[in-house]
Amino acid sequence: MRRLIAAAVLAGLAAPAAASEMERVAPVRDALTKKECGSCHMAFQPELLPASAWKAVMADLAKHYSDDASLPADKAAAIRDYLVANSGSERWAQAGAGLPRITEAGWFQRKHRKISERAFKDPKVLTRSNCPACHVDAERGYYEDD
Amino acid sequence: MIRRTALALALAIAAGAPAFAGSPQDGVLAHYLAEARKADPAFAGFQPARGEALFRSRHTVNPDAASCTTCHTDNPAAMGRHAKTGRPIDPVAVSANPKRFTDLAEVEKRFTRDCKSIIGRDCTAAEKGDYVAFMMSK
Repeated sequence: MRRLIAAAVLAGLAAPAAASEMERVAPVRDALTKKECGSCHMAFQPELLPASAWKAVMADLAKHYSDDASLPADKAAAIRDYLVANSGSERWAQAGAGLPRITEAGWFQRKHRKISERAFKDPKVLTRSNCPACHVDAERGYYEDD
Repeated sequence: MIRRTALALALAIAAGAPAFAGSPQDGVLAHYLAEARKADPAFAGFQPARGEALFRSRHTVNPDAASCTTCHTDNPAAMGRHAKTGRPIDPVAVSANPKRFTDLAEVEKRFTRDCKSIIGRDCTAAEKGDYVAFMMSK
């Protein structure tokens, strides 16, 4: 009984941290998404973009930012469905032309406001979207190490 | 006895067959050979040297990546790195990564994207086969 209470207390302590501001996000659990999205860049967690953004990204993979990331239609649809079903809040939907970018979301910019351009351009990092260059457990959804 | 003769015969045939017979990449190579012969019935076969020339060739269509070597490095047996995202890329040489070129759909996906991205056009079946032959020789 005591152990049960202890477990409940621990779970209670862990919960608010998990809910706070994008520091712990659910990892990519879909194998196809992990494989296909993760071959050229980290497979970003679905929660990092709202559903409307994922739909825009997945609408034309032949024009994926400046690259061709084309996939057979059935695979692209399956990945889109997974991303949309697990997407983040529309609060972060981005206005403007062009594909939405995680790195341009308000929360991302606020979190990284103290990081210099030079740090992002470091040869070990290359780009803002290279999460695991600094967040070693980013692939698993941990971003608390800042 | 018959069995042993058959085995010897099979080995003899294998020895005389194209250099890569009996490898997990055979299916992919056979596909590209058939395609190359459709385009040119006199096509004589793949050459690793031509594949190497393609791998090292430099182009101007992609400002971030002039060549296959931009991401795969000059040594195809080494780990590569995506020029824009920094993502590590497993070696392309079969000796360093035996799973390479064993799944046609996977191979086609990569050639479709990367030929367009680096060279600015689709690769021919002959070029793809040469490239695979080069990576199998590495």
